[in-house]
Amino acid sequence: MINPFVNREYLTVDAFDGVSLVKNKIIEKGCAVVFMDDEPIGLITPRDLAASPHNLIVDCLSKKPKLLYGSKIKDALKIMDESRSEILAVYHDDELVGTLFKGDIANHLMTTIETHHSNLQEVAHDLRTPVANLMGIIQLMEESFIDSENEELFSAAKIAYKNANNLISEILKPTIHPAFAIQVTPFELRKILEESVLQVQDIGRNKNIQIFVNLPESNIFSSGHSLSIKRAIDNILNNAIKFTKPGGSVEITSELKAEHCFIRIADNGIGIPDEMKPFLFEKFTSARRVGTSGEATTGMGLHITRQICESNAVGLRVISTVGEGTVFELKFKLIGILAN
Amino acid sequence: MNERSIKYSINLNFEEIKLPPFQDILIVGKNSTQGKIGLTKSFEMLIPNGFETIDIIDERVETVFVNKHILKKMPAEKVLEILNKNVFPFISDGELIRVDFKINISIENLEVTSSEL
Repeated sequence: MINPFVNREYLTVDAFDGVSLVKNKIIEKGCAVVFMDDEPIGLITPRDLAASPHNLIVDCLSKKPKLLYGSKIKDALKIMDESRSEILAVYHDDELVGTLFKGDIANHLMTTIETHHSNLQEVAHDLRTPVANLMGIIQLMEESFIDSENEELFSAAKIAYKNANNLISEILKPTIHPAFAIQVTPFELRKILEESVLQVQDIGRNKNIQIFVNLPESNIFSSGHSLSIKRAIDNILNNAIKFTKPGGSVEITSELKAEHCFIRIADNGIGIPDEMKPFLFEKFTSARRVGTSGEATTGMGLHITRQICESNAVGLRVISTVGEGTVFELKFKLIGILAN
Repeated sequence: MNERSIKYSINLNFEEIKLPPFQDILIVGKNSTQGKIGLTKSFEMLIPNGFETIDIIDERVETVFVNKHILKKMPAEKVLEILNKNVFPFISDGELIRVDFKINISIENLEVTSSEL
């Protein structure tokens, strides 16, 4: 709520004060509450003074929305954005109680984000050791139980360890401004797809789901952050298997069109109901469901996938019909094709 | 040594003025230093209920103050139409324009019956 950020001590000016007399005080304080006949009639800001040539305060006043005491920060920020105001007056039961600066909220949010990130990194750091211990146990067990049935289980366990370790590494990376975080380099698309398929093959086999890969023989080159893009493809492939019933199939195809390469990951699974589609890419989405074999879901996978696609300029489209399956289409900008 | 003497020469003239400094119509141009609310308040203090403030949508004009005597004789829309055609094109940014607007009404063919005499 905005309550802790409301300034109850504010500068006041009379509506018929001359601008030249009070201008410097308003600029110094950031705003002033304007009174006419002992009643507050509005809030004047340096922006109002800059926008208006008039010599009386009352003529420089612009209409601004009122914030209600007890409003949520998110709602207050939305009102401020829509009205392009950095400062607004706060009211409680039609009575002015103070002013709210956007800067105060921003500072608080920054501190909160930094604290959360720091806590998350501490947790991730503490997780490293137990996860590494797990890998050790898996390796020991693998040596003791060598047979083909267990081999697949150990293979799946090792893949799960690798994914967990990668996630921990991502969290432990230093915070870099998103504009500088993406290392854009050329990468070969087929190689990434083949690695992703290899990673999920055991999971697919365990669930009796066939994975078909129909890609051209040539090497297809695009550019972006290859590790992130692989993660996005991993998420889509994992979902395809998760939401397909045993006995079903997942097919990966490609199409080259003009300057783009379209990669389609199609399953014949349970599909996505229309009412869930608007929320598919939200963080901790309410559209999350348990997999067809009871697989758990965090509701984060597709949110991360979309973020990765946006930051790598990869187009993302979903077509789905309940009971028939889902197609995820990724659109990559081509930088070259090399015959194998 | 001669002492310096200073002589002052003053030109003095004076005339009667009336407040407010317009009797009929005042046009407030866009971006003038005097704003609408301040002007309205000051005119109201000088001649309570004497002027009508007409806000208009025009790229040159902020507002128009019209003496109510004029509006008794001619509707506001007609007054604005005349001003728009004949005065607004000459208004520059930030100007205050005083318009003398005298209405002369003559009625022809007024019939009076003998019973009304």
